[in-house]
Amino acid sequence: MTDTPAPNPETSPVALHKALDEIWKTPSGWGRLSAVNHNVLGKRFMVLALLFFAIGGTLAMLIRAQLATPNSAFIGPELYNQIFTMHGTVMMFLFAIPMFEGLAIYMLPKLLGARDLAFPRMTAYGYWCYLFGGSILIVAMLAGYAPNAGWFMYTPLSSGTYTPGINADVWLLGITFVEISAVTAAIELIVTILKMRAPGMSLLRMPIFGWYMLVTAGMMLIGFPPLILGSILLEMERAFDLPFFDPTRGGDPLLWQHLFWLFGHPEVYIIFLPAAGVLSTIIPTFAQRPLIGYRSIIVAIVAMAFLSFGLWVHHMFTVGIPHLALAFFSAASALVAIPTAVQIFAWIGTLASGRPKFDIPMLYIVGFFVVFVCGGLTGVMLAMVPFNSQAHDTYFVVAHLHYVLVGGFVFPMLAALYYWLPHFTGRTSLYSLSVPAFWLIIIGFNLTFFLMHLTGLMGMPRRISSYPSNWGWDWLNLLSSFGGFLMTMGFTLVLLDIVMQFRFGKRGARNPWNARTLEWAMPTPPPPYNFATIPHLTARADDLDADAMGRDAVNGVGYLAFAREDRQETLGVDMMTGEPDQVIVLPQTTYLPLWTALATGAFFLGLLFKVYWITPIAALAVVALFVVWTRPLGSRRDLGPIDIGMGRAVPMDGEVVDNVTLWAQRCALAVNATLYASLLFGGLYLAVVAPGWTNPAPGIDWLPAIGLVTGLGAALAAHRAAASNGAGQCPMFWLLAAAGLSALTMAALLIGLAMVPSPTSHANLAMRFTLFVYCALHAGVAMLLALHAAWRAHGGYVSTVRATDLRIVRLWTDYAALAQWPAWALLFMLANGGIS
Amino acid sequence: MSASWGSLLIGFVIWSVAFVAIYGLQALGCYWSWDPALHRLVLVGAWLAFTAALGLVLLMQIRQTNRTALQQAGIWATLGSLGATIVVFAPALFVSACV
Repeated sequence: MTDTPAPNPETSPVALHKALDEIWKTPSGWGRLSAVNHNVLGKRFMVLALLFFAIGGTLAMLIRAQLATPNSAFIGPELYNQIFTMHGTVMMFLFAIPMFEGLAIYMLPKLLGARDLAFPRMTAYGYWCYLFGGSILIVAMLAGYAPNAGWFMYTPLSSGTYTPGINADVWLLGITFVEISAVTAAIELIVTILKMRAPGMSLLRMPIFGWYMLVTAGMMLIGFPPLILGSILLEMERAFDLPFFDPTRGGDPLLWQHLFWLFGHPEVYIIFLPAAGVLSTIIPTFAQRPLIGYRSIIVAIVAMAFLSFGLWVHHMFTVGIPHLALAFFSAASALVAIPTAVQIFAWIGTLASGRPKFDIPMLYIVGFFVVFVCGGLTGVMLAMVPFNSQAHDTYFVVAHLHYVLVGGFVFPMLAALYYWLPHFTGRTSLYSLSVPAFWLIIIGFNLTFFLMHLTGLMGMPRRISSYPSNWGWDWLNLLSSFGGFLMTMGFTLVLLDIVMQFRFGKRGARNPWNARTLEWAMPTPPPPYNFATIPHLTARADDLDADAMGRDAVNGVGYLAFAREDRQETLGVDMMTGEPDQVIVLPQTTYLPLWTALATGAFFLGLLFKVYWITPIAALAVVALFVVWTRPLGSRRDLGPIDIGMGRAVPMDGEVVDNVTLWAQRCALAVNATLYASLLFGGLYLAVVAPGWTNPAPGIDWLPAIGLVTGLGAALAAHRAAASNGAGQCPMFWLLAAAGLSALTMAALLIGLAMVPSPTSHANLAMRFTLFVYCALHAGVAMLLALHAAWRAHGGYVSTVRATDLRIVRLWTDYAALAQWPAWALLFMLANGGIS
Repeated sequence: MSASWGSLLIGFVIWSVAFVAIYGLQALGCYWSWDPALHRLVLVGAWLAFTAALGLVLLMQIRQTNRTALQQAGIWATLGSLGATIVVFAPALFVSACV
């Protein structure tokens, strides 16, 4: 123990609540903008996602109104293009992903036994990026400049030649802005799940929802970077004429499709898996028995995660890919049905072997089974190349994707809404509207989309704004539209139902379903700190006596049963065993995330409106603000183990090697490396596949290759800095050396960049230009990180024990140095015209 | 710690490497205009090599004593990845590679 002031045990549960509430609460009024608490931000994410769902639904109604009758003049083709593009974009990027992120942000700490997520300010930053990025899209739509090239933005239609306005830029920049929130959420969900569970919660005691979210977040780390890279490359083509996708200058439109679907297909499972996690949580409650096949489900979701990255080409079966490649992707597409089926049988088995009780959430679960299994079966049909070739780009595909996404996401989310609404509100539902709402939704949905299978099989193509009346599609389309409006009435009733519960619902018991998971072991609605005392688990976390644990918390049994130094404290644990190994101090309310998101928004708006002088200023502002973020972090002295209650003492997070900051950096580097691998894939793909590839190509100047040496020197210096610090010596010299060598590396790479002759003339040169930009950027960041660590060391925030800053520098400089080597290999290959 | 994670993930990591390698070999063989018989031989050889590697990993996992629960789950994951490798790349035996 150290001389840290001993915590003052609160004398009563009420006193403890007051003390903790004072520390963790979000201020009222304008102070709400400074919120970083996961309860507040999770709900904001979900409410905003529901707002976007309403917007997307309204667009769907316009689509169905237009298609209800043949030769309709309701909206013209140009507006129709904007509407169907925005419908898909809003539902996928602004509703589905943020909705499950919001649920996870709100629910995961509670299910895991933590007081908040690992990086509350990043949660807030992600939320603001989501709000501002989504707003760009919606404002553009209202102004008549919405994206209009389909939600997957295929080139060359979305290239500058065929979409010359800013419509496509709105999509590329708005979505990339929004995706910041997805990446930040993925990182902090992974870190929270691995490091911030309740003591005693080993990995195999984790609630199954935790496993689902761990796998989903891992998929997001790998799945989103190809889309982000594709968007950057396409925006570079549109803004600066770098011809990555232009076949007349060595580019290839199919590269966009590969990058998009490398994201786009895993995305389906990224959306489905959290919903499946919800089902695996709710079904045991209503079956009144633990989930069958816990470990089988873990294996199944791991299998799904990997397989889902091996089937993206089934969206491209008709583009002219050799039969053997088609066969690989076809087999993988069919195979992914098996791990899906494992889960479905586990759920059915749980219900069959339990004592099921039926309530509103169960209605939607039954709806899920019916709708999703149909969608899965048509998915297997579409996995078969001959059938896919026939049904491609018809309404059959529209029907399939809606059965999968509405069945696999919307129905489980409605079940989740009814299941957890008492947790959000602390009130019981009135249910007077719930049952009719369900029937309107399920009947309306099937009327709308089942008939689309038929119109699709009759040859009706997607994305057409009108059709003639003599092809037999008339009555099917009319009924589809009728069903669509019926479904909308159902969703409206659900909305009214929610409002009714908030307004008229009676105060209810804290665990209305007799659930056996941790989120019900707290008052509802939950206090901002979740758990007054952090429990110690001795059993699997989805088979607990939540009521008894709630009583224990009231009686002060558990860890951190005190308020200490006005700090937001929670516990970190060993990743595998769940043994507590650190106290994590979380940052309190601040406006910094808002300011940083505004600066980020200025960067994106500068690009969108081609006011390019703003972008470097905004980028500098973002960097400066992130530096300010670090100011309150850390300590100027070593504290050693401090009391956490229950007779235990552990060090502060900054004093352990295995801390959340380092985990976050590893995850961020995984995102970065995936983006880079996608870029390298792009270069290789163009060299092998693109038409119009020149040979011989302009040669390469080797002077900038000096960066290879200086980069390695910087990495070596960073290692020496860490080693010196570990030996009790001052790391300043080596940190400054790392910064200087990184600056030299960046300069060498910038010279290389300037030496690329006319990058707009050919994709080969554009790719070289981009490789130099990537490597120079990383050398620049390495320099900034080394300088920042030197500044922190100078300020006394670094010691032999408190060495996180140095470890961050070491990891990044290693990456920046190593990243140059494959870049130079590709540069060499490109300079030789290809790989022949 | 890493052994348990590795056990759970190694099978499908190998499957992913196999996917990239075999898909890449298919594309490069066509680009370099390999003789079709040689091309097929390379593809089938790669398929068999990865299948054998996975079989070996599975055998090692099964023979391991004092397995943790996560390592036990890892056996099933590797078994799944072995099945996926056999099924997904089996078309290398008979489907035309470059048409």
